[in-house]
Amino acid sequence: MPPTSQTDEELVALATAGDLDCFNQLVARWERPIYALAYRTLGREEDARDVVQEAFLRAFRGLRGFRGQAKFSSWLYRITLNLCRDWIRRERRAPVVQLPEGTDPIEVADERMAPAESVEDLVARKQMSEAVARAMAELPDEQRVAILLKEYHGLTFQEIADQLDCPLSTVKTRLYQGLSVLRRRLERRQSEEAALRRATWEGSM
Amino acid sequence: MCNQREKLIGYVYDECEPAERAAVQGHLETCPDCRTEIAALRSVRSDLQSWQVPDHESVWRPFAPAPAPSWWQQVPRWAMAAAASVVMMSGAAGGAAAYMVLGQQPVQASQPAAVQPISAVTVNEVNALEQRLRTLVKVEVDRLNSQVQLASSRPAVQMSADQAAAFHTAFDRQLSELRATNDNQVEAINAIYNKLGRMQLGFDLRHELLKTRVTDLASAMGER
Repeated sequence: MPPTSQTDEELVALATAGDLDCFNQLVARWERPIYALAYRTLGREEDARDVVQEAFLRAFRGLRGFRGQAKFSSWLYRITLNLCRDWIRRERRAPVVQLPEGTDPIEVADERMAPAESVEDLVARKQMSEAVARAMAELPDEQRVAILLKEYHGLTFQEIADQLDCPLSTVKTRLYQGLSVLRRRLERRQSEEAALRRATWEGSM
Repeated sequence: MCNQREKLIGYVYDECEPAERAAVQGHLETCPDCRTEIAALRSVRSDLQSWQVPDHESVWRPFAPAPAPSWWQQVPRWAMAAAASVVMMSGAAGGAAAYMVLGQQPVQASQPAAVQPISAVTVNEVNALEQRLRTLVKVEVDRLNSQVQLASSRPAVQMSADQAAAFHTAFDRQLSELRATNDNQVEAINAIYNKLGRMQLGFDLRHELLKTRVTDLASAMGER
């Protein structure tokens, strides 16, 4: 699909007027971030896929009701977050963390994109990625969502406040609390790993 | 300042007024605790960037509005082209046959006229079929549109948790029904496509038949 210079809102107007391909273009533009949000919220690829599909279907159905009172992306984020919330509520569970069966350095090496990165760095990055996923999954929903929208989607404090229907100061508090908890968990993990490495090293002597 | 998390957060995310920013900077010079705090927040933020999202295929089955208009235009275009080529080829072949038989004499109108009724019928058939297809697809599109409108015109109401749950169940059921209907409609449209293919095949056959007739006619005239 060729990239267009049209804004999201222009594409929405065209799609509403019946040019369905414009809606396809909106999907092409937003599917990655929406998937990322759903995946990081729900923690499972199948769930994220279902939610993304549903989010775009709902957006399409509600297109006529979208009158540009917000950015299209904000509206789409809201739909996605609502679906994720419903999903978690319906499944009656916290977000899951999909953990691979131990990290195999060789398998990881095959996946690497940047040749400059050493296998050790890659393994470390992958482990860090998992540690972050785990730590995030343990956060209260409202802190996690605030951090997701800020760190991975670059929303402003005000935009997050609009998404979550809460005051600006609450957004900042949630971000601060969430980051503090994450920091303690990630630091603990690092010190545990260091201790483990030391123990392994001493054990092998 | 040490208890003003909001200001530290605004500073870390670089989302504060210049005056506030300056104030935080001034404070940081004198408060080692807050310097540690800022460094820790930045370090967590950098850790967060390592969280990768797995690659994934698109989950969206793009709307295909294009087939409708494009095969509108395609129907008459190839049909007309085929019809025209029938007329032209038979005309040319007839002309050639006439030339062979009649020497330098100009081609007589009676020879193309022999094939004209067939081509005329063919063009009319194509027009009629095109009309039928237009009507069929319009009906399908209207039905789809009205369903989409129906689904999106639910009024917003305040609901209790139970009502919301019931609504979700109903919504899910409706959605899966809608999907099933959509699939049926896609099938119907595919069936129309198939019909079109069969029609093209019929066209080709008729075209061949016509060519054979012209050849027969030419050789019959040659024998005479």
